[in-house]
Amino acid sequence: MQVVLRLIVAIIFGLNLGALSALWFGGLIDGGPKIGNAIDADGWRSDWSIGSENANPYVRARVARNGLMGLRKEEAVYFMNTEDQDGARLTEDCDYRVSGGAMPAAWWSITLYDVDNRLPMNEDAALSFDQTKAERLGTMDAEGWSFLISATAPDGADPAWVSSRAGGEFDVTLRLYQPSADLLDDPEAVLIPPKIERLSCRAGAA
Amino acid sequence: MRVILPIIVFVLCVVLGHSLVINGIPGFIMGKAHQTFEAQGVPQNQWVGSPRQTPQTQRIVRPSPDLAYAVCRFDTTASPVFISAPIWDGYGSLSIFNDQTDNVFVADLGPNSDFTGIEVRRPAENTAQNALTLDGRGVAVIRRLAPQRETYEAANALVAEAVCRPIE
Repeated sequence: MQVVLRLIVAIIFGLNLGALSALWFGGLIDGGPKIGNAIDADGWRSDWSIGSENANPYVRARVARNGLMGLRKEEAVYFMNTEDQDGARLTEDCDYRVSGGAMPAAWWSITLYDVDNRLPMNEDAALSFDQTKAERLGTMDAEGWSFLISATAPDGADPAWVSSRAGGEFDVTLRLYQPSADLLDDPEAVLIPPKIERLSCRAGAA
Repeated sequence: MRVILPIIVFVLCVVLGHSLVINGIPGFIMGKAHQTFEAQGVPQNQWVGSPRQTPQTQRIVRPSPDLAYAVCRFDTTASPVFISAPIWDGYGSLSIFNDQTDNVFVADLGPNSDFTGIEVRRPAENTAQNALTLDGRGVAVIRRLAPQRETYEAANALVAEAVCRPIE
């Protein structure tokens, strides 16, 4: 009788532990891993198996949770970053300058998302910065482009700015549409990743 | 044996539970996406343009505010489906996802594209291998680069010219 009870307990706890660990590794529990980290270009992380039928079950689960209907790599690649150049977590309590140069793709954009994978709930109409805006604002010069991430708008009628207001601890996602073959072959060598420089923080923030 | 057997059963159950759940997540989330589209009034076999992506209008995770999206949910169980969309003067794509979230097809909708459409059929009906094979439910998504309000409205106006219909 004791053996039967032990077996029942083992089955119940075993199935539950297995299920919970799968939910964590699949990114469905807070604190679990997000989209794949197989590629790391100075903190900008990606996984070329996104959208692919060959993706392992963990990548598939994380993509389903954090980036449903992501395109496969020949059409678009996605790099996510949660930290500034000094390795500190990105937060709306600090201001940042993001800068970079030409990207190995037909078109690119950088968008800010909150910890729930949503656009931050503000009405600043400054959700992303992209190649079109860089060219329009004339910041796409020989030295490259740059824009500000902050919770309040900088001066100017059409500033190079992405709002972090209501973003909490956020991440930024670099999308590269129709990436070059070189990038797909050797992403960590070919991508010159954008830099995220922390400028200042509100009192009490890191 | 009184201890060893429960330990072996425990380990096997951990592996079994982990495997079942991790492999079931994509299908479960895609099923929820279908339910959400249905609840939002997205009919089957019809393209529906999404509102411009803002914090207030977002309905999926990580939407790109620079793109104009359109969605068609379809099902090949009863009949094959023909899907097409007009080209666009900028970056654009038409992608198809199966019930496991796999991106099984992408067509360029950019200005140099010669895409005219694709048939989607169940495996048993695609013996000639001249169509995309997809069994059951799927979702087609149009993305068009439209970072400004004017370009978004132009892109959204093209949704009426896209096709997502059963083949009789």
